[in-house]
Amino acid sequence: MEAFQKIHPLEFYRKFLERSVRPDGRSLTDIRKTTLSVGSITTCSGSSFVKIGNTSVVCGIRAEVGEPPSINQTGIVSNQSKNHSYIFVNVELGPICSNAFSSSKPSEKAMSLGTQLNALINRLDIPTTDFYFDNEGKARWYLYVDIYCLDYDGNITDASIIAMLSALKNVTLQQGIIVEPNQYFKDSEQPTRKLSIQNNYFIPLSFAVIDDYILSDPCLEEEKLSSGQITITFNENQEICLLLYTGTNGIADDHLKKCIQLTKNRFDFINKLVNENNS
Amino acid sequence: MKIDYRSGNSIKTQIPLDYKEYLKRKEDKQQQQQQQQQSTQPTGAITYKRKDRLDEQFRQIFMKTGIVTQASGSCYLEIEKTKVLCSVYGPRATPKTELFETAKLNCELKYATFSSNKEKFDYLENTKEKDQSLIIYQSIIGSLRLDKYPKTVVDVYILVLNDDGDVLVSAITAASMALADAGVEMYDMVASCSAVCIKDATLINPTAQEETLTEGAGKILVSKMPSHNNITQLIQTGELNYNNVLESVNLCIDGSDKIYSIMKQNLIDSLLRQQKKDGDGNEINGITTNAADDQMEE
Repeated sequence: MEAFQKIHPLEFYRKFLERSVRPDGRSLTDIRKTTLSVGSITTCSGSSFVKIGNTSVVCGIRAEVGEPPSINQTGIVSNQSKNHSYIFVNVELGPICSNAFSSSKPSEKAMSLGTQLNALINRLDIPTTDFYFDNEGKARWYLYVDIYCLDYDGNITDASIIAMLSALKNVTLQQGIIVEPNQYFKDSEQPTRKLSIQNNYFIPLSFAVIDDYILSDPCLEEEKLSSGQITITFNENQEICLLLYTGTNGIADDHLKKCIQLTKNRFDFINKLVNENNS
Repeated sequence: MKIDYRSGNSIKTQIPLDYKEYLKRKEDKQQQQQQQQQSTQPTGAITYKRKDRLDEQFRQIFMKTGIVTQASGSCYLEIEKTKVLCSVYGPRATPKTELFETAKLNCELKYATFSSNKEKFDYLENTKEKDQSLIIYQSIIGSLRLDKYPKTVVDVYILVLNDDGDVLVSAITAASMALADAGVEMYDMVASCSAVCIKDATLINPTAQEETLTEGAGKILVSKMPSHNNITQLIQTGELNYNNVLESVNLCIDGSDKIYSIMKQNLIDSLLRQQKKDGDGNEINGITTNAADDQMEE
């Protein structure tokens, strides 16, 4: 049996899929156990640890201070500040999580995921005043979100989106003092505050397409065998923020509808998970 | 030159310090200057007393092996707030290693960018990480039987998630545990211990605060194989007098013995856990790995 799996992995999978189960015992729509813990890293402003099955991801947010580019006095302030980004996301898929990655340069997977997350983070409407370092906003906080994969067993997209969101919810920022230009200090006597991320959650779910079967939350083996992958991300208003499909074959309309429905079903679970850990 | 491909901020930013700390440092500096003007003798008399534990007491250690499923062996280690993850790949064949008589050991330590709230770490490997990788490499290479695996490479990757002092000790311990978990043949596991000397006190297992308390303080790191009673690495930096060196080395040797007993217990526990899991119906992993080892030996 093991030999069959090694030599003809796709045939091996098909035998299972015909009976609507997967080799690890899940049905086609089952999602692996998802756990979340926040605030375990003390050296950064906010952190989270997400585990989906064996895939584990740790996300830490480093807050730094800088002066925003000078805003034209006559120009429209709000327009410019909206385009100006305060959050920078980066994904690290290092050699520690899988032997598929090397340490010399970031893999294509990590770079594309980073771009997707950067695009997604701009959908969170966080007011600019939340990033003010002092009262007037002469200096601002800049958040560097770094996501490190610790164990790579498929469906890294979901794990990183959940990790990113819950770490951002976990961020505490402190008001500061500017002593001289370019000398910034945290004032530990002032109260800390959190970012106001409300009603703006991301609910992600990924699928792998093998032949005509759609598998939710694919593991590494399934991702390797699949002919296409779908990622759908909803926000709290049940609007689609991110929909990705990559693959060689086209995708049927009702398949996509089914996927969207499955993602909606995941909504309550993720919402509860993030809220419970951040209360 | 290495180029970083990651997206970044075009604005220069910095990590802000605590205002209280800044004021205190300013005061200290002024005081020191005054004292230096009054007397010609060097001062540097910083007294420090540990509050929560004794000078030769360890912090709580937690370790667990086999948590990275993709790796041949892995270990997660926590010394209170210091958190380190290590994974080992191999012994595996690579085109580069075909010419080697023995296995080649690669060791890479990386700090996560958020692992420190004082120091900035880049995504690229900096000199500190290179230096520490080499120290870890030298500490563990003596314990491994690399001649058993010709033409292969063993990769050790270490990620520091949270730095609260004693990173090297955690990294060496985690690496040794991960290698044992991967089933790489070795003479003995390497246990390690470090100390910082502040004035007369020798602080074992220092925190990040204690490490940076004085500049140029004497630091000692000892790695040893306890069952052979061999020291694989001994590093001393900073100013220390001869008697202090001897005393701290002895303290560190005792400390590593303590760590070793914890490592041993953990390894036994993990094997028992694995055996229990295999007994529940899955095929026994132990047999297949043994067979692979036998093949390697032939």
